[in-house]
Amino acid sequence: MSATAPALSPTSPKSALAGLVGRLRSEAATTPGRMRTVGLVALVFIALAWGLGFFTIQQRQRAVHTIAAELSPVVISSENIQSLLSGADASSANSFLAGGVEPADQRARYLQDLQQAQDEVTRATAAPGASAQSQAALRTLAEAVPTYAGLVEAARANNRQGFPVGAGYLRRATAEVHGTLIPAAQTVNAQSVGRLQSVYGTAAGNRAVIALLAVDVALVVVLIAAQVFLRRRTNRIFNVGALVATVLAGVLIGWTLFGVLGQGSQVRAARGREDTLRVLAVARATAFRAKSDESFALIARGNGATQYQDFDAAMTQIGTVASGKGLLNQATSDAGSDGAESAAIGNADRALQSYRSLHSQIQALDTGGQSSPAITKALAAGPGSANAAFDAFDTAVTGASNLASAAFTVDINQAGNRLGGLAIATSVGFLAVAILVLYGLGRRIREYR
Amino acid sequence: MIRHRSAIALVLALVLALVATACSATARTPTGAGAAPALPAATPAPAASAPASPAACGNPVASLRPPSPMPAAGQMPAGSYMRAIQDRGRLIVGVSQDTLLFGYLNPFSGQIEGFDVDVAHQIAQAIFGDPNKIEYRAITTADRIPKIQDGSVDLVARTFTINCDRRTQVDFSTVYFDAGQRVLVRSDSTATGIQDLGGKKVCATAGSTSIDHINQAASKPIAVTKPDFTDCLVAFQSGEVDAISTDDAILAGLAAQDPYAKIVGPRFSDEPYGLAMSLNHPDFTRFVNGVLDQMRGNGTWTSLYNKWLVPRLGATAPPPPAAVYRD
Repeated sequence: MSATAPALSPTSPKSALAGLVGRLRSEAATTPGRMRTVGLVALVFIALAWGLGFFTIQQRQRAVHTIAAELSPVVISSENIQSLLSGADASSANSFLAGGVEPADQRARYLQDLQQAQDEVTRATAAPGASAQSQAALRTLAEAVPTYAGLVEAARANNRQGFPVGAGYLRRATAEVHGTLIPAAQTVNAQSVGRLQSVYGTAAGNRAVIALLAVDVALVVVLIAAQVFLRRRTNRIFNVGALVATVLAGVLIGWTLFGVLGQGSQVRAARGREDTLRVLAVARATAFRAKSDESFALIARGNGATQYQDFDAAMTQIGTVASGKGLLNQATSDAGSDGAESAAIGNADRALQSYRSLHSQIQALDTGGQSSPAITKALAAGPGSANAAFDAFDTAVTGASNLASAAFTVDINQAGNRLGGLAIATSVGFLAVAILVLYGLGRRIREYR
Repeated sequence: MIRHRSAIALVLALVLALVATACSATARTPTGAGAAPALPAATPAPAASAPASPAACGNPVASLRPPSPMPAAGQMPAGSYMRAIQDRGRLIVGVSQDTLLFGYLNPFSGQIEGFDVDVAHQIAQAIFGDPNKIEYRAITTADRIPKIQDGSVDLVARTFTINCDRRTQVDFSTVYFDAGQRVLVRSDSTATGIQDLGGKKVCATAGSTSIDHINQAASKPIAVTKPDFTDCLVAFQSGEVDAISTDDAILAGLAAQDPYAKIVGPRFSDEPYGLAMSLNHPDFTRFVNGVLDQMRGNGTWTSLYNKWLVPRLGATAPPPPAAVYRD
């Protein structure tokens, strides 16, 4: 039975509106009216759940894409620039120590490192969205790397002719690397890491998940409440439409939450890998700085106190795995449960300790006035030599970096794919939920006709 | 007749005495060909120009007389500083490793060599009978005095100018090389000396007499300091400074590395080089002076000059700088 509306004169809009509201209210007071209201409320919550879910999924996918395509390349490039340039500097200092025409393998290594550094600068410059400070620092790098290369060539040319001014050019080249180039790369790194951290927050943040969970729970509550209402008002225990809709909604919610949480943990894993990469790159650059210090101290032939001090400072920064401090220790905790990475870092640790003790012998000879035997020891390259230990460290660190880099790529790609298609699937699914709810309610409502 | 002879003898004696006095007070005037970057045939150095300082300094180039006779190699007197060196087994000498011609590291041989280094070899030869029992410490200009004072080196042979100020901190041997300050400019420069470099950047090393003279020059050049003269040359070649000013001996080594540089101007200071030693071991100073004396007398000094300076500069060797003693 339908309520009859009180007759009103249809002239004034205000009275027409008042009339409409009144009619709605009295209609809503009836059971079919209530059912319609319940249906409306359910639809609203379905829409909310779908909307928030869709938005969250899209946001996270965009964030992961930004991380993978825009930000990580810059971060990694700016770290590689530091270790490559520091390595080039160590190669050229070592070559100079050898005297005259430098050893071919050192020259090849220097050229390769320089070339790769320039490639990385280009790559970092091409990435979009850099801050003004970053851009300025990248310009500095683009201009100053050729200047540095020029100084090294001037050192070589003079050294080739036996002119002592070659050492002056080399000192200036080293100052350029450690005073201008590496600080510029560090600026780019700091800026891009800052942006990266906030995007990681978006990609794997928990607040969005909690909000989504709240809305989803509310939806399930509403759907169950609707079924309870229907059960009370009708003689049916189950409303098939509403029941199936609730189950389907539950499945969709579970699937979405599972997907989003899984993606979040993968993003976090990727972030851990990226942190490992950063720490290892800085460790490598610092180790090269120490190697360069050793060469310059020996070039100064007993006059290298400043360089030896910086060597010690660099080694303190790198630290050891066991000491609980320093870059290697940090890398180990970042590597966490990854066995291969931890093993590689452990190898690096041992190799570096070996190098340090061999260096102490070299330093003792040099400061004790025996510079020539010290230099011979520093230039030796066979097994058991300082160079061999350092190369073992470098190989191990590079290996760990490669593992971390590969794992990062896998993790971030998986994170990107994890939510792939989920947006469409949940859209279709929630549409089905809505249809089922309307169908289920509709059947009951129609019984009142 | 006898009176005549004694009169003649008296006159002869007087003449001899006069000549002897004149000889011992001779100012040293090196000779040289005129081609840049030759050691210059410039105006003779002003006579004994010590800056006005307390009378205790007197003549800064006057050192201690050598022992006579000189101890034989390997037989240094007990209790002397030379004995301590002999027992140690090596002479420790502070040198430069990048001053071409005087002390520089030859990248082909990996050895430090030069005029100063060869003088050190002579001293080691005199102590040990073996010129190679030396340990070299490469030191900067600013470290020359501190390394003597803290005992890390026995001797500094590093283009070290003797002056009264430094004599309060270290002892010097007799003069073993005469140099003078001049200016190095680009080969196309119109400057003819320090007087034309007003307002221009002129480089020298920190802690050298050269930088003091630049600061004192009337034309008011802008003094720029660097740790080493190679750093000055890098700055010069990069266009950051207009000139380098220091002892012509050092400038010769710089110009030898750069065909687009020339040495100009008269000497505007006298730079007598001495070997520096601690004030605490005057016996060592005497011994070193004895070695230098032997070098002057037996032609070693001239052969060293011929070895290091003549091939690069084409000048003939001047007579060795004379020794002046204060006792």
